Amino acid sequence: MVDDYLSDRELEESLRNWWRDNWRWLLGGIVLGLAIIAGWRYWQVYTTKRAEEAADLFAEYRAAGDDATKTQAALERLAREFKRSPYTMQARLLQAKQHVEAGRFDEAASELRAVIEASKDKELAQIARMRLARVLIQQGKHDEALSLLDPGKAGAFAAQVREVRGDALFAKGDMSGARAEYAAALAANADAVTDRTLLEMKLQDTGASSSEATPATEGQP
Amino acid sequence: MLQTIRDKITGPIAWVFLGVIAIVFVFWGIDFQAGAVTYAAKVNGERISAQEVRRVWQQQQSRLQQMLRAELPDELVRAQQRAILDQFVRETLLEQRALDLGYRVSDATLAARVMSIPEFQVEGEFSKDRYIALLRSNGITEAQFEEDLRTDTLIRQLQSGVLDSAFVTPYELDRRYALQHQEREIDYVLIAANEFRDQIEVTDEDIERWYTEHQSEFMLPEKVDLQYIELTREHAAGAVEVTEAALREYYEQNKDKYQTPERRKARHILITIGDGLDEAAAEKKATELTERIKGGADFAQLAEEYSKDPGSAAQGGDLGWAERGMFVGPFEEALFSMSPGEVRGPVKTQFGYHIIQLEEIEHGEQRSFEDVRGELEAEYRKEQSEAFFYEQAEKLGDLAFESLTELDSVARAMGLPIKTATGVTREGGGELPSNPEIFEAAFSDDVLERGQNSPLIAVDDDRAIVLRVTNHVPAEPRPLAEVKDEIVSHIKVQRAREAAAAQGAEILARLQKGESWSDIAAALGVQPVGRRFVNRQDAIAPRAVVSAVFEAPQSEISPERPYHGGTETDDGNYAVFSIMQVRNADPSAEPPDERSTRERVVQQQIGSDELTAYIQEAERKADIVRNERVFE
Repeated sequence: MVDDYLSDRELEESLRNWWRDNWRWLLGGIVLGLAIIAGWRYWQVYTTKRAEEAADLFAEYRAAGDDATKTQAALERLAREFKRSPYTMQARLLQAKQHVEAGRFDEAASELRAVIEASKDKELAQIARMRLARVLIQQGKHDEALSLLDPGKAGAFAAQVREVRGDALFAKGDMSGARAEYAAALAANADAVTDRTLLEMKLQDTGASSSEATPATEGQP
Repeated sequence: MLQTIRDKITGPIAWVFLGVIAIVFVFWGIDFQAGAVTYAAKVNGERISAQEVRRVWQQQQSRLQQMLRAELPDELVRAQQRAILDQFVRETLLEQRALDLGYRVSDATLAARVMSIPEFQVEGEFSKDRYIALLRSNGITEAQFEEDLRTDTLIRQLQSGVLDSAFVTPYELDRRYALQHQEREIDYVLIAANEFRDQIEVTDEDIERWYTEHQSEFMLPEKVDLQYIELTREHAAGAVEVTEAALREYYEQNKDKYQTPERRKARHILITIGDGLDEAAAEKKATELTERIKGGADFAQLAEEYSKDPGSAAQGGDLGWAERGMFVGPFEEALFSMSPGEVRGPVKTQFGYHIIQLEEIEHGEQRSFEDVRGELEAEYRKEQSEAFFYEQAEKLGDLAFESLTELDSVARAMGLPIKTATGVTREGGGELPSNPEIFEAAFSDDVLERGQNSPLIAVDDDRAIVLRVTNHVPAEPRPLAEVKDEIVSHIKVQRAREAAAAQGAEILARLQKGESWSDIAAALGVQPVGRRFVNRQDAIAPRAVVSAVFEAPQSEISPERPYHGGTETDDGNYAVFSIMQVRNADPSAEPPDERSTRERVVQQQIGSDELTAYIQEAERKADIVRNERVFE
């Protein structure tokens, strides 16, 4: 408590001492703070600029239209310079669509794989995974398709994942497996499946008895 | 104790500690509103302004009210409010995602989009004047509009990433076609219920039993006869007296209504906060520019050089002529308190700091009494009749309350006739306007049970009534004699259906035992229609038969062991059918152009399903807090 009654001189003296001991820290702190702020601003400007460049390249990709060689060239530039940009993902997905429409399923699959691997957007990666599974079914690689899709982790994608799994099992000839998946798809997220009739048809097509599919009608065996 | 703290606040640790606190304040500031809930929702910590959400709701509310021309039902209100809040949450979430993921909309992209909007074009070319004029008339600044458009573009990029790239594989297209155009070979017999009708005998006992069991279907509704007094606005308007002196006085009182508005022509420079300028720096810059202009610098030139208002900068800051109500509050206040030639700044608004120069004023003009006399009289009558109407309505309500159980004295005192309505039910009826409040009042305990006058009922803005019940007929069943024929016909229809179903069941049982259609036809005298293939869209077989046929499990159908089933049809007959075989359609039979059309449709549908799931999953993973009381 003696401290509270220091004379002015003593106070001045102690402040001087304090300054002598600490001015380096103080200055260092300010410099460091400014550096952080400057770095932060620079980083923001830099990322925005990069993102806009990627967007411009993507615009070029889109402008190339349906010409496969042109789009391929634009996609390669994007992929080289902006490996993980969302615009690269979009270009790859579009390229995959073009491949599917032209019957080049291996090429489509490899674009989709690249998206699954590099996309920062986990949900977009999930969409790519479902699309890849569907391409694999087209190619007759049913088991590979099945191994891609884990219905337990599908969240809001559950209905779609179940349907694709059902398609794979059906194509493979596993009717009871397919039936279970289609039934689960019908029971899952209703908003994300517009065409329920199709799903019901697929379920019937597996030989499901009508109690699994739709309400029973009168007089059935 | 202080000494201990002071002892500790030395050395590097203290500085690190202070540094952390400083950084926290620099980046996040102090939240003075902590505690009070002022947001509509929080999406991953980002607040959505409650004010903004309420503003959108108010606009929607008035749109709906205009459309429906009535009080909005509570359910609709809640659903709409929910939808608006959901929309805000969704947009905020998608914008956050887009920015986090690295989507950006450059100024050039944004400019291209603005220019491509047809509303801003004149003869197919983008017109800056039109752009500015249109935004002004909607009370939006260019900066705000461009910001909104940027957000919208960003979200669209994210969405089109899913939608545009959706595809359908050839295998999937084939399978859909095979299933959707699947055919099943069937034969069926239709057993008409009508044919059994004539054989059915209905006894008096049957009729009586039906009458007691279904009594609620034969009730006559509860009815009342009413007396009422009606006050209309027309009646009130006719009673208003108009004198020249009163009109003149009314004119003097409302002089400002009969003015053309004042207009002011101005320029401005906008210094926005952001882009390397914090608030203090922006204010300083604005003050500096103000000084330069006051010192003789050219306003237009500086505006071109420094103004961040994209709409006016290129025109030297020119805003053209404006009336009150076209600019935000602080800007308007400043502008309309300046004198011509004056330069004022900085003026702070939500957009940043403005420097304003007022160039000219065009004063509003007063229209003379003679000019506006017609308008004035109509307005005066309307206002006076309104007051008179409300006054009279109140009096009507008071008198009816005082006289309690009779309306004759009320009618005399008001000088209005007593009207009557007979046979009024809870659903309305009679010559009364169909306002539910009237029927509610007529069947309320006070009016119905105790015979009291109703309170004043505002039928609509122009009409008010009071009423009392003079006669009450409770609900009662119609006498048996009156409904006998109806009951007989009900019983016959029901029994005929049962008979048809019973015969159907017999046929079905025989089929399932293995008897052939021809044997059954011979034994029971029923004739099947003949074998043919039907698809899901078949329009010849009854609808119920087609859907039952396609609901039958495929695994139980084979030419060796056909599937048999029965179903009641929509018109009450009964059908028994057999399915001999299932034939999936051959996709190669589909014409190529139809197939490619179908491909587009399926692609879109898959894309939109994928996007729906995408958004739902994003919402599921996000931290969303909704303020349930935002609309209260």
